[in-house]
Amino acid sequence: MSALKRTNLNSVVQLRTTVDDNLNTSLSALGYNESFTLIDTKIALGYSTAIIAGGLYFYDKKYGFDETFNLTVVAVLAYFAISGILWYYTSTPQYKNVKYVGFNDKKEKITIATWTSKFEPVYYVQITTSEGQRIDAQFEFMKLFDGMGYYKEEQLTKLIKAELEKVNKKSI
Amino acid sequence: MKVRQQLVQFLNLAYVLSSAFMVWKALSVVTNSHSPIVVVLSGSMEPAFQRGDILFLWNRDQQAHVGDIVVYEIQGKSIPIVHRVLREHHNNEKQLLLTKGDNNAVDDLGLYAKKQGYLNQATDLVGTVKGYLPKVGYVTILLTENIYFRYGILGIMGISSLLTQE
Repeated sequence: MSALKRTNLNSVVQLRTTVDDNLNTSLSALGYNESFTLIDTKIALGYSTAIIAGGLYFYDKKYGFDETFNLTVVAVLAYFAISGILWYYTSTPQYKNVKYVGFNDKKEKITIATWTSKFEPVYYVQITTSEGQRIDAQFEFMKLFDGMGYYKEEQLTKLIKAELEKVNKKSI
Repeated sequence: MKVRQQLVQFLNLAYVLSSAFMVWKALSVVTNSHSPIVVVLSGSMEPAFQRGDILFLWNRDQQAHVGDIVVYEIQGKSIPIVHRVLREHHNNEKQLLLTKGDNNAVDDLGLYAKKQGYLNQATDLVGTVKGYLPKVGYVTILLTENIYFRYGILGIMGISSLLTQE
């Protein structure tokens, strides 16, 4: 996918975005299938707020404030209610920074949250398994990209695999 | 998948616009005014208000008092006018107002629509001024009246959107 694309090595945000975009490739190599339920829910909620706002804008433009007052009250309440639900799915600890949700063949769930801090070239990863085990790991971007800015996919696969194996050993 | 990324990106843009609009509408509903915040465009209320002051309006008062500063709109003219209530007449059903700008020599009869001799408190008012911020709104006057400022700001916004990420 991004095999031929170079990433700007000077931007932590761009480095993170590249790795986030390629999480799916690494995890499918480890036998996981991505589940889009969470992201689809968020997209649906987000677009319904946009539709409410857009609809209200045109309705208000056409009929004026006084005639649309009741509708405006309903729209405002609905908008903020849906935004609240959306906020729950994006910002509460359980869902914050979640970039990947997937299942393997044994229906074991894996949730991966990733983030970076502004001035550190480090990729923070938190993996939650279906048994509720939580793995915190830090990967240096230096290990995930070569000097030219090409992404090294198999490196991330290896690192994640290593982290998962640690847990599996512990649980045995 | 790529489609989802595109959808999310578009959604982020839509969110910036829709949230600002909905906050504005929420404020409208609370104050019962179609524009709860206005910028003073003329000097007719000097020295109380200068051009560029931002006014916060409230439109749930039952009656206006002489001396209140109100914002009103004349039917057919869409520019809101900020002036002080000079006289009022009321009974149980309605209240009629005559307004005047502090800095104007005469009252507003000449500004009203043809054959209109008064303002109706219930229907003509956009709101009563309850608070103000001096000078802050001058940006909007510059944006509408100064073409160099407008294109300058547009240019800066364009460049910054090219240079920033996330």
